[in-house]
Amino acid sequence: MLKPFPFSAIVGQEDMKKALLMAAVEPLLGGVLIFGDRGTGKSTAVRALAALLPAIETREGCRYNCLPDTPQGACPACSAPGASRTSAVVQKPAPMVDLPLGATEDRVCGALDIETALISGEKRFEPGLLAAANRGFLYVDEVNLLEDHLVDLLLDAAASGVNVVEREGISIRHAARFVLVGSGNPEEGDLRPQLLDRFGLAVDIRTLDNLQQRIDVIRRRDAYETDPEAFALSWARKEAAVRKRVVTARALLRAVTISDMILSRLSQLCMRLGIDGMRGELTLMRAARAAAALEGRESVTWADIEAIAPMVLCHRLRRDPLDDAGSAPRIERALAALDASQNKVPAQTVNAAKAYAHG
Amino acid sequence: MDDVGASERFQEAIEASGAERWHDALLAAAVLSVGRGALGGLWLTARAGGVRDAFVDHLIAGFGNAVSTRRLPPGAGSDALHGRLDLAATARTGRRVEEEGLLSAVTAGLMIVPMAERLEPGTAATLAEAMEPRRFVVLALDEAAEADEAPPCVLTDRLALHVSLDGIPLSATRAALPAGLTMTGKQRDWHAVGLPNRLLEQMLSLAFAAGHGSARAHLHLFAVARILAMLAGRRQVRPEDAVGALRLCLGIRLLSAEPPSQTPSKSDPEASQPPHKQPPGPSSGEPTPEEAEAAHTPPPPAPPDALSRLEAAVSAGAIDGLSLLVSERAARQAKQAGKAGAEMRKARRGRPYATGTTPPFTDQRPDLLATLRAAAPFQRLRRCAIAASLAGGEGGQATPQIRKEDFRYHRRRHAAPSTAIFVVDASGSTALDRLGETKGAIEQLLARCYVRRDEVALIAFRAEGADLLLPPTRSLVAAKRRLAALPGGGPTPLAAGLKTGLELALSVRRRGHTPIVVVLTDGAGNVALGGEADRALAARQADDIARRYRAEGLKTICVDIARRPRPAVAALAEELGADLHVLRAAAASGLSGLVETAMTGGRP
Repeated sequence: MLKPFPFSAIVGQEDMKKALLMAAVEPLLGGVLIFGDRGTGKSTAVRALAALLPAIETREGCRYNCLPDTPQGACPACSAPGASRTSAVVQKPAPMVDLPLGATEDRVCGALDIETALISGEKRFEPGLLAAANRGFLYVDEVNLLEDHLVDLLLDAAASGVNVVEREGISIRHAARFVLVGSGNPEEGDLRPQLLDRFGLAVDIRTLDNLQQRIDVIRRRDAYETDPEAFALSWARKEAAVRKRVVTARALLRAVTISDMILSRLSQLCMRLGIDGMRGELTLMRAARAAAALEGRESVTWADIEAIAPMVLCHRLRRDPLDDAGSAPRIERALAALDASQNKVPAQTVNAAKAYAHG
Repeated sequence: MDDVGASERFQEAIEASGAERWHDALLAAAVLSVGRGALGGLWLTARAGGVRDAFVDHLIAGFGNAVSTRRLPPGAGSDALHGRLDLAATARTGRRVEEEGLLSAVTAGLMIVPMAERLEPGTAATLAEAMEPRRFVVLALDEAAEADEAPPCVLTDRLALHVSLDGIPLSATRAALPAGLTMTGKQRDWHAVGLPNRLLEQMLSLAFAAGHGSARAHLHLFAVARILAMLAGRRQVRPEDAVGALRLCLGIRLLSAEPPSQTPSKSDPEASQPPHKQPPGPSSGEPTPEEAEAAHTPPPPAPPDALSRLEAAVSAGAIDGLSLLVSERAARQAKQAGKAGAEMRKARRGRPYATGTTPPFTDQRPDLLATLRAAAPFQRLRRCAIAASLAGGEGGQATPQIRKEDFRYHRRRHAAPSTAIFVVDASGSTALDRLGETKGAIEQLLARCYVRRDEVALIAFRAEGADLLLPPTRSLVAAKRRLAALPGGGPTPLAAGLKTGLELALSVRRRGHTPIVVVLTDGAGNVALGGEADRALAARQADDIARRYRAEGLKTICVDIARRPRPAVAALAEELGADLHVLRAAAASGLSGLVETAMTGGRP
């Protein structure tokens, strides 16, 4: 297996890197969608990230990536009836599962094990890609070309964290907590808005237009292709720094607080933009926590929100055919408008709170 | 005898250009056989024929016999690519036996993709995904005839080299590469060849100027330049290698060969170029010999400052690569201006694209083969179950046990047909001529578009309102009968015409067709929706309705039929979000050609 390209050696594309790191810190964000031109390093970044993350612990022979302490009923290796638990706890790299476009539903969810069915006439469940991706990443390149029913299935599993199979006389459920990463080129077809909405973060990436950066890309890539091992070694220290940041942020995440003031402004922002449903606000809140944790802070500031608002909200805006400007400027405008009214709003809230306290 | 001399020179020019192009093609093949997986592959634009066969044979021979070569069958689905369970063998041997998929068969080999321009995007993406880990080389045979036909860019982006064999006579293919440039056992590692930063900068900015922003394209350039230097026996990349890489990868070449002393100066680019930019004369389709020769003369044998000259040429806008952006290697595929009808799924006819477990509509017949395939693995289980329920009765019947959940159905899709809706201004003095032209255009369209099952409708507005003169039809006879007596003259109720057109377009869309609205008018309306002669109100109403066209995302063409172009029509086109055309002396054929381009998907 070839060593993947180091995450920290990727030139530019800060938005994409930040979104991926945030998703790695907070898996409940609900996946990352990366839309952009060809050859901008989408797949490179995702593969690099999985290699960078700390290893996970599980039992030997477990195909569902169970936590050693809480075995799942579906897993024969971790909870074999009657047998004493002999299989040892092992470390394995964070799973990074590639979903090929041609995958069938059987392959994704798991299905009856045909081999045992044919040979011994026995019903046994063969886990699919969702089980393999548990506690890791599931990457779909060209997600906009994937058949709709498969996308539905993936998003459902990603949101609920559980895969339920009820078919061919098999009834099974197992954990499928993974970060879904989809990438694609919008010129080849769009995603339905219903699906768009279910991705937590969406980033648009463009080709680098700085000549020096482009040359860096070429030089680094060439050095990597000539000797992957040596290249990885020379970036090992920076990789370790990023890994440490993610590990620290994960530990810090639950302790990060958001003040009520920021929460109320956050709701105002979503209202101003006319975003349907609560998912935008919830994701914005979670993403803000993850962003603050990545910075090593224990409280969310408004600057965090401003920085991540485009990637959380862009794809949730209703498209307005009469407005030619993209959705990012609309969010900036809404933020600016909110800032303008900021001076009044807190005063009112404070007054109202005072009145309430006195009354 | 001027003619004879001219045609001889013409012949010579063609031969010279053919030889040069063939040399490039051979060079590309040599580069590919060195670079292999690092280059992804080669995109070959050529019609099937002797020249292409000669080139493909040469390429395969260059790879050596040890390399497995596979040909992608047309219409190959994902199971052909990935492989699937071989049921017969599994049942026979009692072990899981997988049929080998094409992708695993071709590992580190050569995959030939015929008719690449017809490749489904999904298949192309599957192929592209497998290219990197499996290190195989793709040879995409592109037989595109139209400018907007091309292999999916998910694939072409990963192919470093682009060779076009157009214009190479069969006689040219006897030539071989000079011995120095072929691989004669001096294989050295091309990764060790150096490339100075300044050259790299120039190369990248050239590629970027030509619109190639993909990092993959840049990496390919970097690799090809070094391979070229290695083939020429150098340890450092020189400008001529960089120029060669730009030519082989992106098709960027100088249009005409000036002697090195006359480098094109920025101040005077037009003077050196005009002969090539002029379109050929309207009557004689053939270019004059001088033009042909200048355009076909091979690029100079790369003097040392060739790269700087290319750069200067880019800034002067006189480089072939920039026009080749459209013809030879498009940097990005333009969004289709006209839609050839959106894809319609759950269709009753069309190409099957998948099998599903639920019937797409009620009386769909099952796909027998897929159903049997789905049922086959469970036969032993089911027989056991039956045997158990019969308490040890005869369990081994040979009849297949097929259950409800085994049934599989074909899913089909086809392109939804288009409907062209003509909204024609039948008012005023020019109306009669215009109506005649429109009638002619409609009849021509109907005569041609039956094959695609496209439809045509006509709305005319005059006097107080708009009438649907021809409801959507594909019957030529019905159209002729209804169009025979078409009244004209009177004021212009533009708003009413647009409103009727919008209603019809939306109802056409609800029926699953793709509407294309063609508005023919010569100015602003002067009658409001209610029929009152209020110019201001009429203009406001027309604007409101026109904006709804844009909001609904309707494909609209606006044709100015006034004697001289009017700003009012341009403003209307702006509001409609329409393409504006001016037809001063619209012949019926011109109009129908315009609409047909929109219907078949090209840029009108």
